[in-house]
Amino acid sequence: MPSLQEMAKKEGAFAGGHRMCAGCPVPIFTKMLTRVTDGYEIVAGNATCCLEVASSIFPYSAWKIPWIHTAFENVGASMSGVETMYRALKKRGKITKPYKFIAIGGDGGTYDIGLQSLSGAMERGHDLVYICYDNGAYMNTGVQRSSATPMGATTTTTPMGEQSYGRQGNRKDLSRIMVAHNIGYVAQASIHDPVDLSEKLKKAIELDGPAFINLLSPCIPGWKIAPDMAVELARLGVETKYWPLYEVIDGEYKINYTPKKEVPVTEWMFLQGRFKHLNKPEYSDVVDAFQKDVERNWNWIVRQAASVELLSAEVN
Amino acid sequence: MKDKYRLKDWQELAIGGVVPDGGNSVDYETGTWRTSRPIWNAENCINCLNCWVFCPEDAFILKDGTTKKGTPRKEIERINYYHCKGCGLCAKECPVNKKGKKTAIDYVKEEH
Amino acid sequence: MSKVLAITGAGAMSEGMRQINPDVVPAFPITPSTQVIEDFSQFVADGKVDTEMITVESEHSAMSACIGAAAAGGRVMTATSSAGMALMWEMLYIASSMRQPVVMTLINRALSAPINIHADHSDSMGARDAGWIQLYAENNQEAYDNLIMAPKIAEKMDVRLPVMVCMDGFIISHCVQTMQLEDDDKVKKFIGGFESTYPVLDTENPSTWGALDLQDYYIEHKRAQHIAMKNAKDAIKKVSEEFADIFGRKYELFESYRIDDAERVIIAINSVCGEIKEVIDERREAGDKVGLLKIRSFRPFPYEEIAAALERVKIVTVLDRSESMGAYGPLFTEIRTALFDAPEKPMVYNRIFGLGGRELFMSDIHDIFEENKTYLETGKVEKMFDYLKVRGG
Ligand SMILES: Cc1ncc(C[n+]2csc(CCOP(=O)(O)OP(=O)(O)O)c2C)c(N)n1
Ligand code: SF4
Ligand code: SF4
Ligand code: SF4
Ligand SMILES: [Mg+2]
Repeated sequence: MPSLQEMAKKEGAFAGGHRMCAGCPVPIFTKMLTRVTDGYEIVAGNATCCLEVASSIFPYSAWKIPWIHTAFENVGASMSGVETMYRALKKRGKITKPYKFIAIGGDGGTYDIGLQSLSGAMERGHDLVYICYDNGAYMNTGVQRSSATPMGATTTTTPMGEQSYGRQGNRKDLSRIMVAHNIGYVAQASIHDPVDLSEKLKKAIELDGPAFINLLSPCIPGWKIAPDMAVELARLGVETKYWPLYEVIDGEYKINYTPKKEVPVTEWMFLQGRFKHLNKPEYSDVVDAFQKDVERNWNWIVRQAASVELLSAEVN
Repeated sequence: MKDKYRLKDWQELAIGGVVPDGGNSVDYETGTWRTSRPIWNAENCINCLNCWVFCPEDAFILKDGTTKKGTPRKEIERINYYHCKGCGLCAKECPVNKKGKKTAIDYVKEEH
Repeated sequence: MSKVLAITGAGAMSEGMRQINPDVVPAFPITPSTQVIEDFSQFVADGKVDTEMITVESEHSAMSACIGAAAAGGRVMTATSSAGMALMWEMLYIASSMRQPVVMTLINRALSAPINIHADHSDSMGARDAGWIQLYAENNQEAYDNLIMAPKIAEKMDVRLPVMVCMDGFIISHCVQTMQLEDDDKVKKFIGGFESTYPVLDTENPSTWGALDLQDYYIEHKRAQHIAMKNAKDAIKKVSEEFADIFGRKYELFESYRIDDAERVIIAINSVCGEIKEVIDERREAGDKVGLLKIRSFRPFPYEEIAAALERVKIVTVLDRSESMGAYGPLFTEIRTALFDAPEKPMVYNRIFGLGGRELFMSDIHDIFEENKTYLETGKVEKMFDYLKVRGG
């Protein structure tokens, strides 16, 4: 596991002087991209999103590694192109060094409009790590709902009103969809735990083939939180089991962290302005449904992990 | 002296909108965004590097140092206020601050 | 060895691609361009090329992968038609603005709805503002020749723009015609190696591609792109001359067919020009002074050159094989613009034909020449704009 000390010896991939909001936790992982492995040239691609826009306002760029953005819905495809050109040039003897490729998208660019190109890239087996930073809405365009927006959250397209309590229904579970692609590595990570994240990044990068990491990344204006609260809210997202930390390696589930005590999801929700309106008795059914869904999801992952243990016990 | 904020003519630009020198955002000042300021106290710092890893602005500058036992390690040298946006995340996530007895990072209102 | 062979237009394109042996080919099937990528897949499977193919899950992804691969630093080709290119729309602009010299075979097909798989030019004409060089061809020989010239034009350092190599669906793509297939090595030598600009794979000089422009830079980048397209005109001429020196076939920005002393001229694009030429030959036998101006380069558009070529012409019928609902046909609009500054303006009018593959027979072309004869004699263009061969008038 790369410790902070080890990571600190290496040059980061992402410089200061970018225009993300004060306190945006996204750079925590972008800085890290070059610090978790040895011996690889790292090249990144980005879908249109907050990170892409705020990191590359011409004539400036925060990217200390080669980086390409083309559009919103296609980073899976554009990076398939970059990765394939690498293989083509390697085959023709024009490149000798080993390279690794990283595609980055927000939840909108990944769960929604970019799902097809992500699916295609993973299914084709490109040597590509796809990182989705999930902040639960289209933040770059001013906080509109995505299929990753949690139930009850207000966004500018799911506002609270007389007829609405905010986003209706449950969010999509993209990580499970990625597991169904039968790729070698899928993981959920959180921005509050850089060491766990670095380990996952390292595994994903070192794997020969496609890998997917879904990263919980709170958003200051989108979640309506103070600029120093992003890491704490990611931590609480994990402690309340809203965002389980787990890995699926070759189809086998492994839970990386089990919260020490039961923390109700309201402890996470009501620190955020986007859920504040639900903190009233008349919305207790929405909050209960949210809590139930969190439990159902956690239990499902526990069962997957348990069945892996059971099977390996039988084999042994 | 060349004015670094001078806008270029189209003939001076690299092809296709490319930024040929990635990482040049370090020349762009974001310290002016600050309304509060973190102040690092070397004497209370345990060099855990939490602030360094979390700082979204890459504002913690490191230097080479050693542990008490003499093992080489990276240590905090200072905060780069040219980029620090004053979000307060470093102060919030500093384990020394969290214990509550001392502060390794103070977080104060910016005086303009 | 160079050889004469009977081959379909689509087959000719895949043969050209085999000879070029691009580094990467992302592709997605759509009638009538499917054969190009099927044949090419077989070349890959048989080891006749060592291209890396990406069998993408959509045309949007095909063009996205083309851009990524080209920016990474190598030669990239693909093929599509109609709805396939419509799905690429967003990425067409990004390819040209990011100045990636991608070469794409576009087998022209009507756009839906109603869904129709046959030839018209609504796909490429709709993309005329997308910043791509557009070359058109009357037959498979011309399409093949354009394909061989395309990488050289696209990759010129003062151009660096993508090229669309167009031909008519089915009429050319699926009809067997004889043509000259040039020698593999001669073609490879003609095209030469690929030179990259700020390749994404250069980790020693990390560049950022696809940055955000605000109001302070966008228009400067557009200006640079505009100049590149201007330069493309010379590049097409130069590469066509080099091509003629080596392979013998001569090409200009457009072809003037018997227009030197012509009074009445049809201007058209692609396969219909074959029949028009035959009709002209027939009428010339009878002493009728008619001619054809066949567009090869629609983008960049050779305004001054066309105006000069039409100097002594008295009346021009512009045939458009696509619609621009609420406006004249796209070719007509350009031609009238080209003629506006001419000292002696010919009469000029517009006919829409062939949408969704509706045939235009030689007798129909005779009718056109009869009509413009009447217009010339009466000195009056009765109808500026009309459809040809539509039931109900
Ligand atoms: C095809 C297309 N549709 C819409 C947009 C506008 N758009 C740009 S970024 C964005 C939202 C991005 O959301 P997400 O991927 O979650 O990233 P975030 O901004 O939240 O980090 C939208 C809607 C676009 N650029 N392209
Ligand atoms: S809107 Fe949210 S995700 Fe975007 S830069 Fe600000 S904090 Fe980060
Ligand atoms: S206040 Fe924010 S930007 Fe400034 S040093 Fe601390 S973490 Fe970095
Ligand atoms: S987080 Fe606190 S203790 Fe740790 S290195 Fe930073 S200032 Fe020092
Ligand atoms: Mg988002």
